[in-house]
Amino acid sequence: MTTTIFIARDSTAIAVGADGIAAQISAQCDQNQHPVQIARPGSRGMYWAEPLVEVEINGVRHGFGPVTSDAVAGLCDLICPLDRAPIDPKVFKQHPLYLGDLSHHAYLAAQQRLLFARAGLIDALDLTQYERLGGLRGLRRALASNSQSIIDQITESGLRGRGGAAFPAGIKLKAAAEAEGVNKYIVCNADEGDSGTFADRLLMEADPFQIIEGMLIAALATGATRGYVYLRSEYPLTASLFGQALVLAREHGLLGPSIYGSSHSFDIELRIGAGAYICGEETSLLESIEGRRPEVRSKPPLPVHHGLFNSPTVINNVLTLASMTSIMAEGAQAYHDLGAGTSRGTQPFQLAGNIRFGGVVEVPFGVSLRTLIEEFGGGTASGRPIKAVQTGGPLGKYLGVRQLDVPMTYEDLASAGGLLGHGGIVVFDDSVDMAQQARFAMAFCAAESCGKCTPCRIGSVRGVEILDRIKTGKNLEKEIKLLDELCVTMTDASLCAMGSMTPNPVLSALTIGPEDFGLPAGSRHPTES
Amino acid sequence: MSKTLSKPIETIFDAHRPLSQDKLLPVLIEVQKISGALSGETINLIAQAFNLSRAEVKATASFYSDFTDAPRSLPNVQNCQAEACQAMGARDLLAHLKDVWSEHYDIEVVYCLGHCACAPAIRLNGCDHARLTVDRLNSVLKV
Repeated sequence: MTTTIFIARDSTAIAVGADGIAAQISAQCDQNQHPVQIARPGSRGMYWAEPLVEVEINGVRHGFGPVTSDAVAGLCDLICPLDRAPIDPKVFKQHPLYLGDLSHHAYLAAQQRLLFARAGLIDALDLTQYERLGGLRGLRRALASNSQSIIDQITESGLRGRGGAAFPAGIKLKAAAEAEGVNKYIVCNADEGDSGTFADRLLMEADPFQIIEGMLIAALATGATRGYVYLRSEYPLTASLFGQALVLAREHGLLGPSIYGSSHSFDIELRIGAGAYICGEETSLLESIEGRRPEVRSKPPLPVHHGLFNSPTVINNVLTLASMTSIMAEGAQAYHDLGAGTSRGTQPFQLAGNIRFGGVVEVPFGVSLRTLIEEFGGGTASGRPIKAVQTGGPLGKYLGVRQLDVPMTYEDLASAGGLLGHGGIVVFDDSVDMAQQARFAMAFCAAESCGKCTPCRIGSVRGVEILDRIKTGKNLEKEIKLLDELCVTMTDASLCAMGSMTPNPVLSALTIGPEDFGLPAGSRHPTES
Repeated sequence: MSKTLSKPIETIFDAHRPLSQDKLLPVLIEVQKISGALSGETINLIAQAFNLSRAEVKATASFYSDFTDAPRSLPNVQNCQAEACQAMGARDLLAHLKDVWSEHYDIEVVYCLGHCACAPAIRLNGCDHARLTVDRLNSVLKV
């Protein structure tokens, strides 16, 4: 009998050697004359275990990881033994890289996966497998109902935008449905530029049909007939996989002039960016699709009224649109039952940076940052104490060790001065220099500012200069005061989040690491930032 | 514009006709891909085809870091310097790249390749390598 071995076809898994491991195992199996089929699904998001090799025996997937090239020969003796000798899973335990039956592995078993329920389990480009594990149920319900009841379900679920702004998704759909316009658009924002985030990429590579299905549901709710997915150019494998998924969706009648034989028409075009962080800002993204220099637009008018090509446009993050599938399949209540406060449902948190067990952890909102970092993440990779944690991407604040018990909801993080953003969590150990991080935040803003408004374009450059002067230790009090004033100007007067939120990492770095700026420890009260 | 290059560019135009402005970015990406850069001559050709001013095309193209106006003479190494990679020693990696490898590679700083759970990362001629150390970087670049 042929043994099936699973090795992820995923950008990060490949960057740590998955392709090489797959080729090595395949060659070794040939040599052992053991018939195997090597399947390449997406990743489960347990990136610490990649390259992860899974062998399926009696329906159970036994995992080994992270597998290095030196470990392949020994591993093959167990999983594809010479001359078809029987495989004995009992001896797997002796292998140092053995992770057990993955469906019971603590890292996954402690999660509550809705968005990532299928990730790593199915062939990303097999619509039948997608459907067998619950896919398309939401779309079928949406096709059988009407615009108003889809909007009601999404509104009642409490779903909020996962891109960072956390705007209620139902209200956006309603506004677009009511807006006047011949053409309406659904735009999926996959310009995932925040450091520490990779959930969009993982989902698009592991379960692309879920995003297509989510966009179709949004289209049925609003009457949109055309969609765009705007993907950053840094993700070429994602572009290839998602592009193939679109072709398959058209072949199966999921996209096109008549969705599953209905009177609804919808198609999606994949657009690739060209290296600009600001294109993740929704109006800059629209300018980019329209072929202009992607400077942000002033709001109002809002994109739902005058968006792409001046038409009503729903622009949502990958995860927001994908979430609509399980809401429609399981009902608004089931989704609303998860989470805390006004943060409903699940959030895929992304553990990154100096962390032992980095990866995607999808759990209901309300889990503490400490649980994520210590219980799932296993603390720092270096084994040194944590000094700072940046949540919500490069525009999010640095939190200190005393703030780790904050529950991860939009409102709790906001009251702790933090940002949930797109769910990224970047951990730094005590070797970090907070003054260097503050300078980087300003330098990043200077590099990525679209240049339209002065506080962001010029403020960020002046910010770098002030931080360089602070480093010399001269006129420290005066320079810090100037930095504070500059940050107020940038916060209050910038056109978009790029300029107005860059002060977050800058001032919080000063709060948790004043000694790195040459100030006495504890000299900055947290309320000052 | 050399004949050898203008023909393939015309082919790209033909694939995207009618050339409304929303086709500009996909066309720029494809032209850069086949010619390795967006030269002044290429910009002229694109501006004419789209009925836009050269300034409009240049303003759009120059905004994005993926476009260059001259082809690179050395193999390209993109070194991620975003926060997750910084937390895992990306600054030391960059210093080492500049010290040891700058004669052999075109070293470019980028912000986030999406491998933040396996930091630090580089992209070498389009192929990614994550969970790097200085030793692993050396062995990757030696090949």
